[in-house]
Amino acid sequence: MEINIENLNTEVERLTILQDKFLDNYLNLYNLLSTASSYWQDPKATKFFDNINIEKAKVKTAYDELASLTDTYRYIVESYQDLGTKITVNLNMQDTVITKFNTVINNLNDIITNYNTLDLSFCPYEARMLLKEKNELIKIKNNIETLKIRVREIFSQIEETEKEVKYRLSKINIELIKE
Amino acid sequence: MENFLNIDEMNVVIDNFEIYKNDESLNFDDIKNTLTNINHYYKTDNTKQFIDLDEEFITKMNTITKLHDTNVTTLKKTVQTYVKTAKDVAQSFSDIGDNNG
Repeated sequence: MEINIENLNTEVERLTILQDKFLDNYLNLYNLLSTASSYWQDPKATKFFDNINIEKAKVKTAYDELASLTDTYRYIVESYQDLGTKITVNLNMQDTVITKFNTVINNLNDIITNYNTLDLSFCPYEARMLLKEKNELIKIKNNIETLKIRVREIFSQIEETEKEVKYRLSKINIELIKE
Repeated sequence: MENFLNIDEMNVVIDNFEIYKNDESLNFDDIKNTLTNINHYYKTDNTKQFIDLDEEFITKMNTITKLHDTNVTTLKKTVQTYVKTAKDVAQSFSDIGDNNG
């Protein structure tokens, strides 16, 4: 999956403005037609304005549908904007990535264990240097473990967000209007 | 029911309706472009569903535009009919006046 959060946000902001204009136009048009009902009265007018009321309700539904689409796009931006401006990830690779982290961590553990088995009683200077290196390796290992946890959290966040987006989309139903 | 049409007011309504309809049409074009562009920046397993919904919504906007075209045509024809009827009636009275000398 690829998401450009920055550009998506720009389009969502544009869509929000257009959504507001949709509502303004809707109100202008149907309020105008409502005033027209006082200028035209005959059997055809009755039928015309009855149809207008039905049409008005359908156009309002269209506005609500657009609002739902915009809200869903906005949810995506809000969910991902803390992760960065662009996201490129293959969710199917999560297990592979975590496995690689574990491999590195296990290798570092083996190295650290090897350090602990060394007999350094005869070389105090070298012992101090090796202790320093071992401690550095422990720091690196801890950082990698923290990074692994963070990566796992990010994968989880992305999976949950996409699941929620799918759910929201399943709730949106565009009712087509017969002409 | 008394049949009635205020021609002057109705012409104002028609003029304003066409202005608002034009604004709506421009806005619909912008919405269509934005909905088309937005999916370039979100490519996941959900994108197809977004595209399908966007296309259905664009179809709906096109239908709304046609409905408004029909509405303004109906209003214009109504005014034309009333104007013609008024002229015909005036002509008839004029003919009667001429016949009676």
